[in-house]
Amino acid sequence: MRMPTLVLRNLRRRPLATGLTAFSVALGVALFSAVGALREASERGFQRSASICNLVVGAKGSPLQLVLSSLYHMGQSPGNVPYSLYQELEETVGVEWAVPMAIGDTFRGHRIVGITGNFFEDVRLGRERLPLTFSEGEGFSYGRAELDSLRAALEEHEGHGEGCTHLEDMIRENPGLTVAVLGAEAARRTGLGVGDAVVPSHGLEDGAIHKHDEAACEIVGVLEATGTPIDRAIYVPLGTYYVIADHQPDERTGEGGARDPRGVSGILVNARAGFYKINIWRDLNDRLDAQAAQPPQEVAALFELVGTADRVMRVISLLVVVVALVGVMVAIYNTMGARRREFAVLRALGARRRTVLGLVTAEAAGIAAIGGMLGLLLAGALLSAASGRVQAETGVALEVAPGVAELLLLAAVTLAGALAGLVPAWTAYRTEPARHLSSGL
Amino acid sequence: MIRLHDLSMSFGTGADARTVLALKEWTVAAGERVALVGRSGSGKTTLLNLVSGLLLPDTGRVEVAGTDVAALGEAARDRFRAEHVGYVFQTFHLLDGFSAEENVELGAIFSRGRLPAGRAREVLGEVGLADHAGKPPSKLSVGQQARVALARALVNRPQVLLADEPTGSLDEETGRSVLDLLLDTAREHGITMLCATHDMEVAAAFDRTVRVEDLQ
Repeated sequence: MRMPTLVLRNLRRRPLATGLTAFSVALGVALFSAVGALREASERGFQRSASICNLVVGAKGSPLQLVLSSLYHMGQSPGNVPYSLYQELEETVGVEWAVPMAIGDTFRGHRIVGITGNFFEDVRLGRERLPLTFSEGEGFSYGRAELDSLRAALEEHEGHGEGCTHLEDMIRENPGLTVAVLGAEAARRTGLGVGDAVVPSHGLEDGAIHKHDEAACEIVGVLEATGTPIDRAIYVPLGTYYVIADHQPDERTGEGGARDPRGVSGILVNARAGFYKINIWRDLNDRLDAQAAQPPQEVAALFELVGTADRVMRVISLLVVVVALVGVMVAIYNTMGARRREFAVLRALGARRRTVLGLVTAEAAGIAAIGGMLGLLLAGALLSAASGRVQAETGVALEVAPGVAELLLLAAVTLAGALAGLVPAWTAYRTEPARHLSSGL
Repeated sequence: MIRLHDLSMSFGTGADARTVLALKEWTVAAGERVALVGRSGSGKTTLLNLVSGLLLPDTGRVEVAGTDVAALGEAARDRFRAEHVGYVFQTFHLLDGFSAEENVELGAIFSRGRLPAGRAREVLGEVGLADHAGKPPSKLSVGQQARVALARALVNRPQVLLADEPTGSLDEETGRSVLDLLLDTAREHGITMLCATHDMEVAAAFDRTVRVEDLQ
């Protein structure tokens, strides 16, 4: 038998006490680890999604709201910006690509996003700059030329008083308008694929969903999963939004501005890094009718905001770990009276004082280590559950693989357990074998 | 093998100090089996503890196998005890939660050399408990526990075997059997043995009987 066996055997001699104290350590470690890992994984996941483009242009208001509504499909858009701004950006030096967006309609809870077809070719994801790929079908090619032409036709016939009939004719004559591409999650959840139809719906009227049956879109492609909010969205040509009867300008909205339905909800822009990007960003923010937000900065600001709550949670969980380690100390200390004879026997068999000290310290460290490992497993389970929930809510996939941080945490908890064990170990250290062997204890 | 010289040992301090042992010279030859008798509190156990290095004398030398144990530092005394001394306690002091075999292994865990595989089981076989190696002490009779305690004391092939009232908690028949085993084993392996007892019948079985009071 070796010393580690002796330590383990001693822990097994008191299974209930060992189990309960290890479990209390596990709870603290799980909480501490899960809170930290969830925050880091969330930020990583959100930053990966933020890499879709380096500028988001939209109406004046909160830049965070603009980024969340445009990239993450969360919340309302701050308003529309003129279509001409998209045309202007397309011709701005330093803009690599721009994708105008329209939002507002949904299908079975998935946001329908009107875009131009270059989105599928130009978007790159993450540090690896991975392009979008299709698991089924392909994207659509509806681009700026078609949009400009459609808008000109719409303006020409505006005010003829026969708008709806005319719009339906336009939809019939432009089959390229009524197509859709589904994100991987949207396809999975709706159970739809290439050849099926998506009918945009707008808001709720008297408790009933207002369906735009005239603009039913045939699915032509399904994207591979990306681990970003793209997975949850349904993409249609931007022109589809312009030909839907309920999206036509009226007296209240037809004068342009943030509610003009002929505007765009946002523009995803990828500008050349450095000088060009900063200049474009600055110029846009100098305008009165638009703003530009930088997604990575907004995501960082968001996480800075929630960071306070995160820090409070981490302090609380750290306190739970400390209390649990004090519990380890008390649990072992309480056995010291009954174990004096055991230590005396070991000393009589030749154990040195520091061997006995090490034995008790190792027992405390062992309980902390078992608790730490259990805690990390528990944290892994919590994170798996949480990551599913986060992905369902935001589309952001969290990578929660254990890493160096978890190993360091385990080492720190084990060390802290050993330090907590020094108090009872000191009692064991001072045991006088001759006295406790002859006293018959 | 054992030589005590100008030894004095007292407990307590100042006015409460009480001399337990004070002797000029006493020797035990190698392989000799000596019974220490005397009334309670006469210093039998103290003498065993001095020889094992568990206690230090106030003055004097305690030579065991050529080493002055009293002159060693605490860690060196612990190592000396681990490697040269076997100890059988009055109530055996086997550890719960460990099997008989593991209790025997504990007798060698603190010495420098590694215990050869199967040695603990071999010694258990020598004391007639080969079939009980996996049992915890609580599943053994008192006589069997005494044998496990003897195996633990012998596992490291000690030069000196100390026994403190080894038959004190046993019935007459079991006590006799354990005593015979102790004496036979010591003779067979040439181990020097000191055994504290208050039982004169037990003492009569040894090579020599010494009344501790007479050593003073």
